[in-house]
Amino acid sequence: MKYNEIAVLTDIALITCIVQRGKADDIVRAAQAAGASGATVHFARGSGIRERLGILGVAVEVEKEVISILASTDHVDHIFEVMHKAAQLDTPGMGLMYVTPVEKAATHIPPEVLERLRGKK
Amino acid sequence: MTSDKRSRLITCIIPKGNGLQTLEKLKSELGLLRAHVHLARGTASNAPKALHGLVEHAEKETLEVITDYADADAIFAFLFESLHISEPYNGIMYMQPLGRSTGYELSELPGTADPV
Repeated sequence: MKYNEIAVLTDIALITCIVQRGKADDIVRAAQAAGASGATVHFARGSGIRERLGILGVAVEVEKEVISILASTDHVDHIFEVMHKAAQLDTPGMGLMYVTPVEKAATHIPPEVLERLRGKK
Repeated sequence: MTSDKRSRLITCIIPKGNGLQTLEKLKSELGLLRAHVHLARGTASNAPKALHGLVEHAEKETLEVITDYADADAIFAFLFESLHISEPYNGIMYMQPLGRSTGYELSELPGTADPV
């Protein structure tokens, strides 16, 4: 398939959120309520927080969940803020989140949507 | 150490089952070694809903491939076709610029024709 036959999506960004294991589902639910169309979650292991917090570090789960959400650049700020609140990221040890640019994305686009988009051009 | 400042990262989030054979294809057909697969769980707004209206979580595989800038579009198209991304419920893929990346060389093992 030639590259110019693929309908690509632009103006997309990737939100990555790293939280303690067990917290991802609530954050994903909040993101979807805010307009995110999907999410992917995988496991990871973190380091550093226990060394810094000392005895208090036992309260922080070393096992992590990494949430990846693609969002349009129009909505990424709103979804980011909703996730920030749901994940309580302003509390030390709860996790971190960042946004990275996406050059292009491709997925199934229903034919009627594709025709509508082509008609707009 | 050589590093390429113009590489691209192609990420494919696909239903579980095709990741490893796609890795093999990337190696055998395109000679690509800078790729890996890991498991994930995913949810999408258009996924089939379970009985109580909860969105179904499904096992996914995340395939990540690092490519040179010059080959990025061709590899993107190759993966789009190999993984049937255009079909419903077959996942999504995206490309991101990388700040820096390294190569990945494998040495020949004695007595083997094709290094793993």
